Amino acid sequence: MSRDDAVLLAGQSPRPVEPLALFEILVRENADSLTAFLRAAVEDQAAADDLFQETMLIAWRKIGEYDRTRPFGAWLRGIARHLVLAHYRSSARQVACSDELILDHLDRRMTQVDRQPGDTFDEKIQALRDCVSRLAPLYQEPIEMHYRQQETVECIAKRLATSKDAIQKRLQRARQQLAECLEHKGVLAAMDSKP
Amino acid sequence: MTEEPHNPRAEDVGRQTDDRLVHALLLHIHDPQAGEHHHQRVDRVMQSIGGSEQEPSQSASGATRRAIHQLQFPVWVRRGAWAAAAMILLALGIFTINYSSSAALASLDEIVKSLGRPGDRTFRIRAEPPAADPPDRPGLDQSTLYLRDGNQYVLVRSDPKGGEALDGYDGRQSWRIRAGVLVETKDGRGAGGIPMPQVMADVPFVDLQQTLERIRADYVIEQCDQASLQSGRELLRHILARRKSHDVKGPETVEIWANSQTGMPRRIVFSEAQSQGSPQPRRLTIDLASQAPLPVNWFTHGAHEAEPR
Repeated sequence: MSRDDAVLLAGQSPRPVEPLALFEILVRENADSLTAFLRAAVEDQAAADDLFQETMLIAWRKIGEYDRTRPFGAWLRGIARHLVLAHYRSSARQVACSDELILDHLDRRMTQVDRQPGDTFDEKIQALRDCVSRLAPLYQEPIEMHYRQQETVECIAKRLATSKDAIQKRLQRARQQLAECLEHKGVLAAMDSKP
Repeated sequence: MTEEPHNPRAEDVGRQTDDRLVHALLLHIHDPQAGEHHHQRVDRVMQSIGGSEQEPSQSASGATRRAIHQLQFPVWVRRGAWAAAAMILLALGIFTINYSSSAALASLDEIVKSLGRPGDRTFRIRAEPPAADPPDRPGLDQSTLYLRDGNQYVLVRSDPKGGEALDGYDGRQSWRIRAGVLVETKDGRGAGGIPMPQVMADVPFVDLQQTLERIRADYVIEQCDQASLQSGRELLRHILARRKSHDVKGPETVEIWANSQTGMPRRIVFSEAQSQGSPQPRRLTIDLASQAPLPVNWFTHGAHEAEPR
């Protein structure tokens, strides 16, 4: 929770704030973090957008149940978690035990990100930009092409005269190196061997 | 020293989760419109909350109903039912016309503003019937238009003589490339003789922003109900512009579907558009294909010239 969340929700704001205006402030503060959580949890970006909308609407309806001593972002993720599991079920696939473990781990990771210094989500994940710039060209090139230029794996493979599998592996390896770099920089805690 | 029990499954879960998380964070830091998307998401939430707190219907008829509630009739009007009915009809008529036209103009202004915002946009153009293109010259049908910041462009058309015909403007110099060879450069806009609607007789058609500003002056603009295009489920702002008179050169109508939050046009349709070099008027459809950033030098001729053999 940002430094202002607790003050706002505890009603200690110097001027009275309308509940809806206050909720909007919290939504704005936590929107990017929740979007990242949902995008990591759900592959389909349109579904992630829908789940974002649904999470926030439920949060508004249940705002009375929110425990003000807990971070607002974590509370939102708790709502989103249920919706993600329901989404998995509606996507005609069994909810595996590992799905729940992944969501738990993801929640812990986002909590670590939330605790980073910085007022905005961008500032909290600033280290990632530095990590990308430190990648070896072999990995940096497909990352730039895939994420910045939004090229498909197939297209990158053609441009770099290699196979799709090779590009997929390079992207995966690059992301792994980025996660290690974020751990090294203290954004993510070193991976716990216990789930 | 006691060794922690090795738990390969947990490690797998951790690795898999971190891979997904880094993927999501990369999507965020590489989104050139992250700020805009952030505002859209929040605004959508706040609109939904606002909508659910009010009456269910928020359509144009809802606005009309609100207008009725807001009307304050003098006592003498209340005495005569017919007079009151006439007043309501008159007030509603005036309200609807004013509301519709001012909302439409505001929408058009937002669309113009959105095209002026920094960023790259790629549009695909369809011309119907395509056969109206001169057979020996590059046609408009299936061409691609790239815009940057509302003042740089590259139009790529297929050349019947082989290869592609490119016309561009990098903000300083306009240029033409045929079969990979730079054939003309000129300071300022205007090289190329692009066959576009005559509404753009004195400004390049590719300057969509100026085209739309001009439509504001010469067309009657109406705000239609929100609609979605066949290609998506997103509800879009829809405006229709009709030529004020036959003295005005340009398409008969211009229809625009734009993002209801940002005003960025998703589709623009010029009907009965007379394009240079084409013997008959036709329908031009311009669809937004992407807003992904293009290479830095994309709008310079150097980026498109064939490498010397």
